Amino acid sequence: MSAVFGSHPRVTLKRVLKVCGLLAAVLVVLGLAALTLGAASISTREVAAALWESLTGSPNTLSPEHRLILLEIRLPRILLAMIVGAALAVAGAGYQALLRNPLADPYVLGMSSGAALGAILSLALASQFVVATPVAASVGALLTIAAVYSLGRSGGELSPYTLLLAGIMTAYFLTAIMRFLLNFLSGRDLRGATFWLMGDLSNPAPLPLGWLALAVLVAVGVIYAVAGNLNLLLGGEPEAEALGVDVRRTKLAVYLAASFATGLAVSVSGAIGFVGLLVPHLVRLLFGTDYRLLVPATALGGAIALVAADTLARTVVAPTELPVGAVTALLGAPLFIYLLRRPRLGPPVPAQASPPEKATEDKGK
Amino acid sequence: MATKLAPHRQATPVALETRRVSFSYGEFRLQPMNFSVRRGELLTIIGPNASGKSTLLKLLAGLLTPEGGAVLLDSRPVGTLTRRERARRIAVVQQESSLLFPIRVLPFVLQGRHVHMRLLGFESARDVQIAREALIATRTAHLGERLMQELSGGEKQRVILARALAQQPELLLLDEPTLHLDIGFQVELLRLVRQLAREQEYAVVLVSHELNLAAEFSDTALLLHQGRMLRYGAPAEVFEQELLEQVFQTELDVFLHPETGRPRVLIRAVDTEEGGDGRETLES
Repeated sequence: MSAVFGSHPRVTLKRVLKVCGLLAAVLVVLGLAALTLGAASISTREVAAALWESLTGSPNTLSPEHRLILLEIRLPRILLAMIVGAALAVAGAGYQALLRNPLADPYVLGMSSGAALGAILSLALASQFVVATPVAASVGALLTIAAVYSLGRSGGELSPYTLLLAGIMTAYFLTAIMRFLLNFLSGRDLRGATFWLMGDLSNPAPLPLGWLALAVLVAVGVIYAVAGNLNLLLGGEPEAEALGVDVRRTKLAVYLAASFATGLAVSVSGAIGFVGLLVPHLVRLLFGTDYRLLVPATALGGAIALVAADTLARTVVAPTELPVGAVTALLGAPLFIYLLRRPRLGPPVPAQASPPEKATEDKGK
Repeated sequence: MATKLAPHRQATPVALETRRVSFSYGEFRLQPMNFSVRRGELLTIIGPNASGKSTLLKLLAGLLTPEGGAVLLDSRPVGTLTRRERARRIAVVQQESSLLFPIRVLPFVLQGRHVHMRLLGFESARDVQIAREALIATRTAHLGERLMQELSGGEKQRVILARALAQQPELLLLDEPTLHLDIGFQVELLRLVRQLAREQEYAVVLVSHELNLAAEFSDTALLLHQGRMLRYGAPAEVFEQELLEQVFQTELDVFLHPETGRPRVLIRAVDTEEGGDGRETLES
């Protein structure tokens, strides 16, 4: 394990560009592959033709039916998966640094449920305002993280296990309210419980994708802007403060940005679980723990992961579909347990419980 | 040492000075006190648990704002320094929190350069050079590629010290740096700190429970008790038997070491009246 972690070279601008270029290439190839896969069989040549047509406007031999499937159904869905995946993964990476807990994730800690509840409330009360849904979802996520954070503190200390339990219980509680509301308002068009509880990318986003992408980019950008500070925060707040980090401002920025990203994602796709947990850890394994590389690589990795998961969700049992959240949970839950049981990546043990390892070295060198 | 880690030096010999600095939280009150540390000098703050040692160190670090009085760094109140200025001039070695993720030694030491970089910046070749010099200065250059989580207690403390040196500070503050170290590493670390203070002209303030180390390595000592500065001066003036017995509530012997002339503190024998607790018989 340590060999894998130890082998990452130091992060430089060149390395960030190299890794991100590589991941971006993977994302493009995967996106193109995903376009060809689905219930209707469409050849790669047709996909190329459709893309060429949409870029240049020159008509070609593509059948109208296939054009519709590719450009009106599959492409927007793939782009939505990319945006949502990036948002959730970066939010997860942000929460992990903020709460100093490697198991933090918008879904596990209940932020996704809070966002979903906020979204449902806004749909029930003010469905005429399209923008109200992501805003209400972001506020829901923000209130939830505030509640979980204060519940997770015991005796002034943020206890990693109390935090997780508080988050999981908060998620249950909010889900119960959500179910009640959906039942109560069943006559209204609020989308189904499956959508909000498991996450689903089959509904077209109510917002223009460009706007959504821009908003997520802003949230990711804010977290990226404090990536250097987050590296220092991983070693503890008093240490970061002494090393010159504005801890309060950094935490506030990440709270707001990660909750905004979660709210945006949940408002268009429901509560998709484990992307925020799975992706940052895979990126750490592959490229190391430095947030200056982790944040952009996680954004791209989240996009890759969710496009892959959603393609599985809509092809494995074709012509019907699974909710994408079922696929991410199938992969994410075992990983969560694996991480929980691994001492090095599990929640940090309180200082008293881990005496400093005794010297094997020779002193006086 | 060939290179100077600390590049900017002011002309004034006194680096750190307090003017009736005081602080309070809840019931506890740190009484106004005056003391100073010159460049190249090592001051150790001693005192029983909850006497206010760590609070005082945080005041010196500018991490707490004094209730009254001021802490002056080169005649300038620490409170008027910006966050970045403060972290460039004052380095603090604290009782370390656990690290969340594995990190190698060199990137860890490079965190000391954070405050010298721009937002979103990456370390320059010069930053890496300074970090390597800090590793050399703390005799940990051979550990650069190791993971922090793999190091022994003694190695880890020296690497944390290296990160502080990489900040290129003028003032070095250490909160119980010898905690959890065996006696060999304690001596090794303090010898290193004093040598660095002399050669690089850092002003060093140290909080320690190790009275004998404090007596041996400090230029000046400061005895705190219930938030009050009871005595401040050369170790020989501070380490007075009756005073220490009173403050630490136990019977002690204090004598001067025949070779170094510095005070030594010994605990007096365990409760002989009750006798026969097995320990004495075992040793006799």
